[in-house]
Amino acid sequence: MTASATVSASAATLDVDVLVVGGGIAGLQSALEAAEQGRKVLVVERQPSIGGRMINLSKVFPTLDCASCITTPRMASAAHHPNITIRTYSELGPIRREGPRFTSTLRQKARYVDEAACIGCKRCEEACPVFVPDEYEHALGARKAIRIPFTNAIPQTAVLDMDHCTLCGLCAKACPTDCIDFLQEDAEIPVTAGAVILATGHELTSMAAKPEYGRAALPNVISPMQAERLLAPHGAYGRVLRPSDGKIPDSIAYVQCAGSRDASLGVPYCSRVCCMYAVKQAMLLSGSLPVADITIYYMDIRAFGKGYEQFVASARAMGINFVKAKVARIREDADHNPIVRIERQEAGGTVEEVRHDLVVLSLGMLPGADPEREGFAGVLRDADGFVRTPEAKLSPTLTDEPGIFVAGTAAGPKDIVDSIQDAGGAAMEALRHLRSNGLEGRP
Amino acid sequence: MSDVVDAGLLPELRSYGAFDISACFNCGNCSAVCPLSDGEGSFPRRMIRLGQLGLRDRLLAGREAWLCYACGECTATCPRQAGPSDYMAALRRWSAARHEPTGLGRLMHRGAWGVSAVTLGLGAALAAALLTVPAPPSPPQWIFRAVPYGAIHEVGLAVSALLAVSLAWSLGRFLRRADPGFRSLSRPLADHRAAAKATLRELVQLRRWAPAAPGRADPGSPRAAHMLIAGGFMALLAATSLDFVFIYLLKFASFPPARVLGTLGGAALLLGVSAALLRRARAADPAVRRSHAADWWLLGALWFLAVSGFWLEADVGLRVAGAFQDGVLLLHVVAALELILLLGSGKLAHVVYRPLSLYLHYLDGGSASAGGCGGAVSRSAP
Repeated sequence: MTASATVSASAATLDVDVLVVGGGIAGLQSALEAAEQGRKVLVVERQPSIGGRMINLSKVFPTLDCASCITTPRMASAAHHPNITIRTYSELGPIRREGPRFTSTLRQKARYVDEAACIGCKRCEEACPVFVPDEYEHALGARKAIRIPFTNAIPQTAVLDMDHCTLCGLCAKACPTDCIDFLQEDAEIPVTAGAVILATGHELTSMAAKPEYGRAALPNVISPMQAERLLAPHGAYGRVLRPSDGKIPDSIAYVQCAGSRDASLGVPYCSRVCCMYAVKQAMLLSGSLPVADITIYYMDIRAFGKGYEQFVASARAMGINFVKAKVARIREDADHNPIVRIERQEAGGTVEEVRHDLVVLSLGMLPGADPEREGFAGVLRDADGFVRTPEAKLSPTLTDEPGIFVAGTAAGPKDIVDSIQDAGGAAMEALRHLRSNGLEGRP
Repeated sequence: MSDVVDAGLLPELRSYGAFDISACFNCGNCSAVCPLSDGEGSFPRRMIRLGQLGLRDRLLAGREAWLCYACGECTATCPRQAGPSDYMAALRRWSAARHEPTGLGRLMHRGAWGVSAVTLGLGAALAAALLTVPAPPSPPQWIFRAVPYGAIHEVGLAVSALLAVSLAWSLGRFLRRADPGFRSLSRPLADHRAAAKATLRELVQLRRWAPAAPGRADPGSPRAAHMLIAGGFMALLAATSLDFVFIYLLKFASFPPARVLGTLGGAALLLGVSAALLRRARAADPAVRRSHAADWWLLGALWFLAVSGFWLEADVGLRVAGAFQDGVLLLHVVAALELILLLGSGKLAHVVYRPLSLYLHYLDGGSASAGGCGGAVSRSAP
């Protein structure tokens, strides 16, 4: 089976050994590990492309590898693996235990495009006259109502956004394979699996969570993912410009813990990656804008992984300003320059307002899916909202339901390195579960 | 000033109402969010740090606690929900109790039982004094048949004298401990005049009270309530003084202007105190998220004073008399005298410490504006 099975295909049951919920880097890694061991794997992804958050990044810490360059090969390996079936633009219903196996229903949303026939030529995208803010660029750029989700999306299959489509028909006229089908409907496909790996990932905390930070209404206060797109070589503008007026920013500030370690927001935990991605972005910015002042306002820097402390040390050596202060308020002047209000703890404790050209809020991580609301069999939610891992120390990928495992940020804030390790562990647990429950000899 | 680290200081402050302060990890959000923090210094974090380090003398030397308006912004935005605003309130209770000589303040803040013990003990003593003190003959007013008019004034004078001594002692200690304290007082006269003017204006207008932050409850109503309570107090003080002069000393049969002023003051007090009680009972905004027994005591006593005052007014108007009315009058007078006696030790102590702290603040060149950073916005960071 391949990634591009037809949508109209019947309601024949997808019967696999391992069901992976989520096609981000953790889900893909789990799928590859299990598939390499000869198991049949189904990956269900909500978005029109696999790749998750990682494919959306510019570069990754601490190696400064290009995220696209190292994610795309993994995405392609999974998509081309004979043992892996990928269903994108699909949502999974509740997971029920039936005997030793799990069943569920997959709802494949209508792309309004015949997946088997689409050759990914982008003629439809060129013809489409409707511009919509691009989710992939976090609204920094625009996309068409029908488009290939992004340059290195997998599958390279167009998807039509019916909410914005004007039904003008220009795409259908432009399509060389006549694959656009305005009458396509969602398809429901039954799924059964011997084991399940939850890799439902994370969301970012809201830009508007802290009213003191401008309620997401200040144009030059941006999210870290927007900053990633500003820095990505194939990003929205291909260079670093600030949103309000396209000016090249001379002074950029990072506000750490803008969505984590803050009980007043209901997020008391540390999101772990924010210190490192802020330092990484600061380094990349000083590469793109060598004369810009870059400041990181932090409570304390948590450089927890291998090589991370050295990474932070080199950022300091590069001249990035680390200022120990919790930003209390952000307002803007008439030119939309953000002004942050801080207490200078290391300089006499005076309260100061500092003007910058661009401010990035280092948002934290929230769970991407609530296992209890989704109805993932007996999987429970922890106090922090992430998937509960009852044996968090010695078997961190186990959930409260035997046979369902968890990988990556679905279980809590994690960086890519830890997510990859988690994914391998979850795949191994899933295979062991299949073997010890006699689920290996599938028909 | 010696820096002695006192490990018992933080638990002591907690007992005065800073219940959650141990959660603080010193991020400085409270100082930066505070509308009163300006270029010259920062609080509440500095005060919390002093408490955590156990630097008792330095904490007592600061006047920041008395400059705080308890707007609650710091508590609302505190990442650790450590209640910096509660801490500042605890600091005020603690400082007042530390400055005053009788020890009643310390007892008052032992929680509900301390409040009850002080209230009942003092009440009994005052009632006994009122009922037994030999008083000059009262004017022929039937409402004073059990508690003679003269006795109220005699005991009232004695209580005021006690208060004056205790306050003089407390303020002396406050100034001796304050940093820079006495030294500020040696500034030229023009500075004193300017500081007095700024203090008076701030006391009347409360201009540094936090403006409503976007997304938060409008703190306008507590400000109005405070103005009503303070105004009512002033009016009642003036009315009582006028009564004392015209009726007691000059032997007028009655003095209607004092009566009118007293009624208006009582109404303002009742309105303001009711609003404050309601706000505290609802615990709606962060500044009153948690209340100390002493807070309830003050508001309760004020409310009782206002209501019983109007009750007695009605009795006089309707010419009702009896044992019940005698009891109400006795309790009314006892409550009023208790409030006067405890002015220096409880929450009311801010009546003296806040003006003095504001005065010293302005004398040292403190900013009179709210929300700014001394007007300076720096460009980027050095």
